[in-house]
Amino acid sequence: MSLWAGEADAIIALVRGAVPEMPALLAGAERGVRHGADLSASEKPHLFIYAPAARIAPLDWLQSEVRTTWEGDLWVDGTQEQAALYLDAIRAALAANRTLTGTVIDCALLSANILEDPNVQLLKVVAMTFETLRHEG
Amino acid sequence: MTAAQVMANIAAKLQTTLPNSPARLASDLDATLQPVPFNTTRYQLRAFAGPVTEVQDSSVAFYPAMAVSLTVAYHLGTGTEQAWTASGMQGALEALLNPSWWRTIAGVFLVAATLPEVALSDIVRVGRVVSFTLTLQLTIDPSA
Repeated sequence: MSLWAGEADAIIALVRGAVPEMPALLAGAERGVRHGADLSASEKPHLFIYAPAARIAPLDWLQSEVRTTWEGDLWVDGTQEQAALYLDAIRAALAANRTLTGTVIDCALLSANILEDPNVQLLKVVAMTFETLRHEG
Repeated sequence: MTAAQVMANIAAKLQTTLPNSPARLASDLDATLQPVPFNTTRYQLRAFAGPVTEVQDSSVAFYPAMAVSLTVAYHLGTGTEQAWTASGMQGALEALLNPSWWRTIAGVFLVAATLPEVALSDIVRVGRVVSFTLTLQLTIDPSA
């Protein structure tokens, strides 16, 4: 498994712990992204983790500091408040487990938005950007 | 004994003093050229022969001085920082900061004006590598 797949799975595990209503396995979360409108009701809440992008800074002794940003979209059938409560739970879980159970040195939530479409009253997207930190070398 | 011979003697003694498979890096001056391998110690030894110094207030005997700067770098491996700084690093520092460690090196006449010292700011961590830099000034015995 690649390093990035390991990080993606660790973020998925974190969100799963915070949002226990997510269906099991691929029905509830996946690496990569699809349009949420393709999801059935039994697949929500559903998390997509995608678009990893790394910034690499060289350190002494031929080491590197690698910061990777991840986009995470949690699709929710529910009210704005329901989506906001999920986001609160994800932030609390991250505060309690910033290393993603030892997968990285640190993981932070850089931004979060709840996206709403007036044409689709109940479907909400919690759009998040995570950043992980690891040292290599 | 020449300054070059004394440097070689210091390096040989470091091999038996430092923990975790020590080895001297090919570059003594640049920290960006080589890695410190996982869970091992590497060191950089810089020294130069300085002007002669008067020996013990003698007005007739003059020995060359040697300024020494030693950087010891350790890769933490899977260990924690404090497992090293509270244990193995302390042992290495205690040995190297003792003037007797230097006096018993062939060609070292005595530890002169500057005793071995490490400033707290010279103990640093970069990524997974913790390093410290020790400085001192030796007097070389040319007749050893």
